[in-house]
Amino acid sequence: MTSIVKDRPSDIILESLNRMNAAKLNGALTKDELAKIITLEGSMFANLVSRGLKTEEEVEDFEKEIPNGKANYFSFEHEDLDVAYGTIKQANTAALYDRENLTRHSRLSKRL
Amino acid sequence: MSFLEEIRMSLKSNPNLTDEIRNKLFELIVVFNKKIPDINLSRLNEKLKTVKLGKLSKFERKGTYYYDVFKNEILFSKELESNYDIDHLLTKAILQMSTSTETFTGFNSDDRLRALNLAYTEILANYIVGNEGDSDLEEEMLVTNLLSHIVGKDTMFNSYFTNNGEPIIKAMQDAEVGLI
Repeated sequence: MTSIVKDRPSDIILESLNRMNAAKLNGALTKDELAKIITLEGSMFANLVSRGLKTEEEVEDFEKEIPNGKANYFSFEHEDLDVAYGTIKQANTAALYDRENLTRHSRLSKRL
Repeated sequence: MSFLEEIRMSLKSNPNLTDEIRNKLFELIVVFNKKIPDINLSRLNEKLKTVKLGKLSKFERKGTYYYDVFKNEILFSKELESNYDIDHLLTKAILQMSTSTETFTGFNSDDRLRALNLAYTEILANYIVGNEGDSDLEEEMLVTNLLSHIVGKDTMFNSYFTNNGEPIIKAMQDAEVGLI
């Protein structure tokens, strides 16, 4: 079995996702707080994975770039992998993905 | 007898379901089979013979919908009545029954991928029948959609229908460039 190491970025993301789901279920987070968490976590993840940020300072600098709780669209590139990040509304649209037409370079291109 | 006819017979043999629910489930299974034709429906067929619908008590578990894999029960809460799309919720149940083992559904074998599994079920149900109502998993779907760009849509799909989350974990760890 692939082992989980608690400080690996992928483990952090999966654990955060589980905790967020549990917190939502218990009514512990507002919609705005959720949007902010997703914005931060999603972009942190995209950066950690896509750019290989190594220091807390680099992560903090990046976090300052993110508008506070507002809908926005980021696209990150790492080699030939595009990681597109959108709003909750776009996520529902994106969730209706067409598997036959999806390619590895698919991009969410709508801007609010 | 075609496999869909077997499914119809299984639904008919289940005394726990009304005719309305039987017809609705069958209709949704036909749509499911058309949209995702390569999936083996034998597990679903077995589950349909004994599945029950019931009420979700807020004192037992929060949320509006839950599929209990141990008891093979589809549970709905009172809040369901006005805000949710029943076709979407029953399609989720169909997906969960189709991917059920004795203890879990999809790729969530040991709870590491619990929320990811819930969100991916939601995404697939969106793909199959859409969603005219509210969703409790919008944020989780957003992260899941991101992760599937990293992991690969085929990996997510195959992991879900083969009950094996290890390829997802491995793909995420392989994507950790320059950190470990």
